[in-house]
Amino acid sequence: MSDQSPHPAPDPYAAQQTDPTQDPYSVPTSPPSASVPVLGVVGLIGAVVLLLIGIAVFALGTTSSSSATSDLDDAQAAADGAEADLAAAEEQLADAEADLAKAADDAAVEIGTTSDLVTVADQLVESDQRLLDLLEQQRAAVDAGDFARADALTVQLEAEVDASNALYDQLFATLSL
Amino acid sequence: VTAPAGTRRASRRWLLILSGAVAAVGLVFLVLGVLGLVRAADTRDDADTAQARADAAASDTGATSAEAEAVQDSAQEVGDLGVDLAAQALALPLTASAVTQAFNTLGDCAAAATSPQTFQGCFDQHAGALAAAVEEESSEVQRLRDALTTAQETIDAQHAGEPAEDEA
Repeated sequence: MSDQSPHPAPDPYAAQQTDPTQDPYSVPTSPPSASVPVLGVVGLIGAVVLLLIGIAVFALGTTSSSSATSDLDDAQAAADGAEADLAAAEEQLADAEADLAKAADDAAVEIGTTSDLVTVADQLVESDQRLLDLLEQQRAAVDAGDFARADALTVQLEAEVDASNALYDQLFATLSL
Repeated sequence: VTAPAGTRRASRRWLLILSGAVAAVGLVFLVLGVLGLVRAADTRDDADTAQARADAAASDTGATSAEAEAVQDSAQEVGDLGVDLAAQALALPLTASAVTQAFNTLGDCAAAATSPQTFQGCFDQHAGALAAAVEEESSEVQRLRDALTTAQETIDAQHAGEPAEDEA
């Protein structure tokens, strides 16, 4: 029994021989190498690295933004509090200035009253001094036995007493203003 | 051993899709993160501005409070000045009354005198008190005049200080 096959062994160049359109001088295409999947994996790794970097930057941005927002809230609260304190201080200053103005007005009135009082008091002191002088003169007249002059001085004394009493009344009237 | 061409092309296609998707997500995160950082920088600027506003307000508060205390002290000083002046003014009628009383004592004694000797005795007894009362009255008026001058100077100084404070 022959093992001869009814079909001849396939000719590897049969296709080339049978395809009239194929260039018999072209270099056969090399089969895809294993580097293509490797490049794909490397690309995937790069994409993952990019993803990780993106996540890290996103986390950093989120954290930083949150921290900055918190700082802003604190700063705004501090500013609001400080401005409230400033408003209270300005109100306190306004009150103090009002108190000062009132005290100055009261003092001015008191100064005016006292000034009038001093004017009257000066006149009263002068009148009392004149009374004292007249009394000394009367005493001297009595000592000298000049009773006529003593009587004349009595008239002057009475006039001066009236003037002194008027000034005394004026002094109290000024005080009661 | 190499995989069949179809299998390799499919693997390459899936790797490409997966890589692109992962990269796209990564880019989205990256952009969002950068935007977050930019916004954080802006927010931090706003926070710095607010903090500067708070510091300025705190500084102004300190200055304003100090000024308010100074003005309050001035008001107290001026108020005390008026009260002191009024108290000293009230003392004047007392000395004037003492003069009147001394004079009346001497006058009553002199009016009751029946002889020059008793008249002279009244003088010897009461004239000294009258002179002392008049002297005290004169001194009281001088003290009141000095207090008045001091009060007027204080008020004038207070009024002179107000324009300077307004200009400041």
